[in-house]
Order: sequence, then C-alpha cells, then structure tokens
Amino acid sequence: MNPAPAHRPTWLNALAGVAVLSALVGAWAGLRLSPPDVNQGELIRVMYAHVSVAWVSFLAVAVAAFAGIAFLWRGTRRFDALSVAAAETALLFGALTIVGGMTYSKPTLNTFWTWDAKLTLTALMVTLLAGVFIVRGLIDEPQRRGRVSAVILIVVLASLPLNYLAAEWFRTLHPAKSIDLTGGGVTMDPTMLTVLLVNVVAAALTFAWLLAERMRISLREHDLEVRRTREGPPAGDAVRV
Amino acid sequence: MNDVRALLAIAGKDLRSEARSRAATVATVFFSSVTLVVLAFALGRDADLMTRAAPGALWVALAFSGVISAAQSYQSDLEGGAFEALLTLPVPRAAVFLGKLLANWVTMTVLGAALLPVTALLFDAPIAGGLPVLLATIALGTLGFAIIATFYAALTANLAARESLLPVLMFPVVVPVLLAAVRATDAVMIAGDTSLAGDWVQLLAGFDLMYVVVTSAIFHIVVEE
Amino acid sequence: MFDAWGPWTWVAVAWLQLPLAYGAYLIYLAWRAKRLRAEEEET
Repeated sequence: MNPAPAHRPTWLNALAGVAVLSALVGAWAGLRLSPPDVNQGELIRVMYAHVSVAWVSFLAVAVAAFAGIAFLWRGTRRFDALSVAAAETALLFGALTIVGGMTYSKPTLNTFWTWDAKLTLTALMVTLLAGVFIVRGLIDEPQRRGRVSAVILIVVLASLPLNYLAAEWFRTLHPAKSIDLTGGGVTMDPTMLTVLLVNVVAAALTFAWLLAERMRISLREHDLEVRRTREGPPAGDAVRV
Repeated sequence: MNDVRALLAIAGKDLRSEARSRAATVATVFFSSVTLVVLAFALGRDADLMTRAAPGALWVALAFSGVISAAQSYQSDLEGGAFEALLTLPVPRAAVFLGKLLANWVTMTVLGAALLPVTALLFDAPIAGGLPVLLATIALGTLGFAIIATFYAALTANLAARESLLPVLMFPVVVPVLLAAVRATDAVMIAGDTSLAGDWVQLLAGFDLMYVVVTSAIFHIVVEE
Repeated sequence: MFDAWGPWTWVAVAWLQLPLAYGAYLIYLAWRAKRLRAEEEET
C-alpha cells in the first residue's frame, strides 16, 4: 500500500518566503545601505555575503552534530534525518564559504588563497563532512549508520576550534598565550555591524529553509527504507540516505 | 580483572604480536626510511632547503607509517576473530581503546626516536641542542596521531574500502597535530628556539588531552554490534 | 583577467553566487524528490 506523498505544508512555503524576503533585505543593506569602507572601499560589500555564509556553515555543522547526539541518545529516526540534512546543507554552505573567501581575497590580497585560519578551517570541515557521507554510503543498517555518522560528527565538531587555533597560530608562526575570541579582523562601525547581522539572519533563514526541504526528503527516504526492509526491495538499487 | 590491568594487558598483547610479526615492523621501518631517503634525494641539490625540509620530512614519514600500523593493529585481530572475543570480555570499551592506543603510541614513538637521527644525518639538521624537547615533540605528536588513527581504524575496520577510507577520514582531524609537531620540530632544528618549541609542545599536550577524552568516551558506539 | 575586474564586478560575483548556489541545491533536491517518488511507486 502506497501512502500518498505529503502536500507541501504551508509553514514551509512561509519559511521560504521569509527567507527570500530577508535575503533581499540583506542584499539591499549590503549593497546600498552600508557605506563603503575606509580601507577596502566597495569591496567591503563582498565581506557581507561571505562572512554571513561562513557563520551559518558552522551553525549547520553544530546542528548536524547535536542532532547526531540526540539520535545517539534517543534513537528516533527524526534526529538522524535532521543530522543528515544539516550535514548536507553544511557542506553546501561550507563550499560556498570557500568560493566566497576566494572572491574576497583575490581583490583585497591579490591572491585566491592564503592560509587564513578561517578558510583553512572551512576547507578541512568540508573534507570531514564529505567523509561523513562516504561512510554513510557504506553502512546498510540504519541504526548503525546513524550512530557511526553521529560519532564522526562529534569528532568534526570537536575539531573545529582546534583546527581554527592551529591555522591561526600557523600563520602567525607562534602559538598565542591567550585566545582572542573576537576573531580580530576589521573593526566595524555600527552601521556595518548591523548590515552584517542582517545578512547573518538572512543566511540563517535560508539555511533553515533548505534544511527543512532536505529533511522532508530524508524522512521519506527513511520511511521507504523501513517499508522495503519489511516487504523486501524491488529489483534495483536500495535507497541510500 | 581491574580496568588498568586489562588496558595494559591489551597493550602488551598488541605489542608482543607486533614484535613477533616481524613482517609488519620491518615493512613500517622500511617504508618510513624509503620516504625519508626519497625526500632527501628530491631536495638534495639545495643544502639549505634540505635542512629546512627536515622537520616536514620526519613527520611525513611518521604519519604515513602511523596510518599503516594503525590499520594493521585491527586487521590481525579481525581475521583471527580475536577482536570479537576481546569485546565479549567484561572490560569497558574505553579500556580496549586505550590499550590499543597505548600499543600504537609506543610503536610510533619508538619509530620516531629511531627516525630522528636518520633525519638529522640525511638532511644535515642539528638535533643536539634541543634533544629533550624533540623527544617530547615526538612523544606527544605521535600520541595525537595515534589517538585519531586508533579511533578511526576501529570505525573503518569492517567497512569496505577501509584502506583508502582511513586516511581520508583521518587527515582533516590530524592536521593540527601534525602542524604543531612540525612547528615544534622546526623551532628546535631550524630556529634553535627551544622556548618556542615548548609552546607548540604545550599545544600538542592540549590537543592530545582533548582528543583522548572525546574518543574514549564515544569509542563504545563505534564497536557495538 | 581577474586584474581587469573592478570592485563592483567582484561585489556582483560575490552576491550572485548565493542565489546560484541555493538555486542549484533546490534543483538537486527536486531531482532527488523525483527519484524518490519513482522508487516509492515501485515499492
């Protein structure tokens, strides 16, 4: 018996609408509202697009890891579905961060890549996330797959601060005695900070929307897998989540 | 049997079987020596470059060998069914993990200590000035590496394509460890600045502590059936 | 080639890559949903 696929729920469309709207507001803020920077001129507008996406990529990894922990604790498939969805969107935002980072560093530093702490960290993070998906693809049993994936995500989460510190100290050639959590970088005037935050919110809403879309698919795939295990698969490949 | 005794027993068993399986030990020593020699050849024209490459060369050789021996340490267990037997014992999983970790660490440290004079010779790099710090670097650097290798080797042990998967999974996690180890070694060999090396060694200690806590806490999930 | 780009070109690249990436991802999700639908019909 084939259950009918769910309709697109209203809240999802609303979320999509809010995300798009906030993105437009963010773009307007970044492109028009913000004054040009004293040093970087108009190029500061690249920063808004890039940094907002970067922060959200780390948020996504955190969501994936905590969903994995919840799955370890509870075992309900919703958490594994959330974890996969968050990991995949983290991969998307991470890759986007790297491209954005290159878009920022070429005109400002005249090179596409510096071993900047944040970009190095993001590159390592993307590699780690790819590893999560490779391993998931190799495990058939859903509970074990979810648990192993959660374990790797825990290690990924733990590695983020360490990788960041290592990359930072690599660049400055000296491990710091204390940790500067403000992240250094450009000191921004209040307008710019507001514009950045608006864009962070917009990126976060986009993440939430894409996460929700991806999670719906995860849940359907999990359901299909459960049905197949009960009824036996048809000829052809098994579903991979 | 109390947990620490169990841990040491597991480590002892692993080390003894490695000493007995001379094939694995010889292969690892040979492999790391070849790595060093080839790197020395590649950089041989420029004496200054060679010396400056010494820290990196040492840790490349150690890292490669480390991955191989970590994968090996589970292989022989799995084949004999010894690993399952080990898991049926009333020993906490963390003790199994730490026992295997200890064995891997000792192996890597011994290898590192052996490779140090070889590197110094081949690359014309001075080691006399900061020998204690260098040995501490080797000990703590190989520990960090061994923690990650032992953990991921267990995770990939019964997966297909495990040989290629292990380095792929390990590499991003192990980067800060290798970075700090190379920097510390560089500080002694090239810069002659033992206090800078000491800073990096402290960083290594911090990494090691964090990773050993996290991995031993979640190891039981990796090996459950 | 990149040296010839003025600042606003870079700004445009930086901002346009976002809807491009999100749009591509949504298309990928739609493809995945379609494939899933096909497999659901089979079962």
